[in-house]
Amino acid sequence: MASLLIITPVEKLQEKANLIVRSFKDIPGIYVSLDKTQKSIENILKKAEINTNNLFFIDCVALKKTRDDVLHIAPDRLDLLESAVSAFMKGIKGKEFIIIDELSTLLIYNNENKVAEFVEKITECASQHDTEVVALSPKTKGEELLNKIFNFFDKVEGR
Amino acid sequence: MKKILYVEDHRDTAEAVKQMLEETGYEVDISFHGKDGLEKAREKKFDLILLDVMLPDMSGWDIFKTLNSKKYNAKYAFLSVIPISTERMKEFKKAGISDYITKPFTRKDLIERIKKILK
Repeated sequence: MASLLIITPVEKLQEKANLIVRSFKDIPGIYVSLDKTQKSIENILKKAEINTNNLFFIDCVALKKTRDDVLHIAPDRLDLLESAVSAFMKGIKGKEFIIIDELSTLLIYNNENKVAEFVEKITECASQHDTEVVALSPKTKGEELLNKIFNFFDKVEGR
Repeated sequence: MKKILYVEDHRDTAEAVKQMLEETGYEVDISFHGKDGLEKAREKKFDLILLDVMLPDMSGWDIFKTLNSKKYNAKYAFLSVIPISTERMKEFKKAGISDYITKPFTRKDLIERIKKILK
């Protein structure tokens, strides 16, 4: 399967993210962190005894560069985010994965159509490069948050 | 009397919040689209701009960025169904967003937080 959207209660999001990263074991991955800083995520993963050596982080929260191996991209720059993720997919031979945590944050900064376009491009590129895309989003009350985005994923869990 | 602009595409929510805030003593204008919200802000001086984050024509963030770049002197708060982390809230504060209120909210919570922003 190339792409999966997981919708889960907010308090279970990190637990799910941990499970996903752990399940990919030694496969290289890119962690797009939209709601917590790279530093926080890395600490959480390490605390859960998850190997982060094969993970490359894109931090969309803290925009100040602290390390050379972490990319910082503002969440309203979907063009840059798409380029970075695509470059990663094209640059790595063999299997890789991308985790987008949390996809819904993009909807705070960008119009729904632009987020849908971004997701479409990423999932399309992933299907051509043996990349699995896993996006996480919190379950919310009332409104359907991700209406336009559902269609671009091969599978939606928790809808 | 403090003036509030509320930009929200769900008419029922917009009307309900307008009523709550007016009963508390604020003057409230509502817009159902981002462009209309920007237009209203250009025509009138508001003390607080309440923004729904997902609007049909632009995001609440786009409205904030536009007004902020023009040095529009008001407080800003987001109303949204999307939960955020404390780290994200810190970034919002740094950018100039006073509060991020998650829907659904109670009348009491909304009014207390608006009062705090406008204090």
